Amino acid sequence: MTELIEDAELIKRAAEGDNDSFGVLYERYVRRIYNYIYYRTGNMNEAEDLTARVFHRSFRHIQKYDDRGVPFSAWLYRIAHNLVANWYRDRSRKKEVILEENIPSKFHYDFPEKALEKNQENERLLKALRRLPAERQQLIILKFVEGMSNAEIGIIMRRSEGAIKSLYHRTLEAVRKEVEKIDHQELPKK
Amino acid sequence: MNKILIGEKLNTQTFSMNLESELSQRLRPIQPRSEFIHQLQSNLTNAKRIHVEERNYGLALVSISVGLFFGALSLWFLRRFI
Repeated sequence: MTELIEDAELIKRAAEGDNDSFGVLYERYVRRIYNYIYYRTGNMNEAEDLTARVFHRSFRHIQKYDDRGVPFSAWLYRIAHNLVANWYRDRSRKKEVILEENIPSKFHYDFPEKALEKNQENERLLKALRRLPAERQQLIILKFVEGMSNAEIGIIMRRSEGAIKSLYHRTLEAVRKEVEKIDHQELPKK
Repeated sequence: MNKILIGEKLNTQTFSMNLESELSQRLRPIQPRSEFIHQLQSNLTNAKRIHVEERNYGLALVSISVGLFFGALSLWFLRRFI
């Protein structure tokens, strides 16, 4: 709640032309938006480019931000969501996105074989995730990368907590099916 | 039959739990490059806001109407008296 009040004050000042207030908002949310875009695109360069666009757009239109109980972060996620959708549409990369960088491992001293195996498992899971519809990807990222509760996700995705819970279970089932499909596709190669 | 259904349900539940733990292990926040963060912050906080002045269509309409009215009045005046 405190964060909401502080955000509101910062937004008001930023809308009046105080760039430093916008800088504080930026510092508060940039990493979350970057992570969201990174997991949606699977590419660090694109994540940087699109994150910059999100903040440039929000900077230009901060006067239009209308706080109706919806947090500032939800507005930023909405902009990010639209930009990622445009990115997929423009580049027709929806079906296959190559991971340029591997997701960093928790264990920095893995043996090469183990690290390779781990990366392959990561890729398999991320590949399955990226085959899901955009809103399901968003749900998984907000839940696991951002560690948000169903209620918080509901505010961002403009749905009730119950609807998010139900969507979450359907999403897990969809991930399971996609993982199985990938396993079946890769089986003849082995 | 019931036993098979219960077994399948348990398998699905176990798989969901495993999947959840796999997702929480593999999907972790990553740190963006600090140069990128600072560069973008500097671009944003030093950016000058551009305000585009919108055209005042109302004023233009009033001016044209007044011009037409006086033009028509002048024509009428000239025809009537000259």
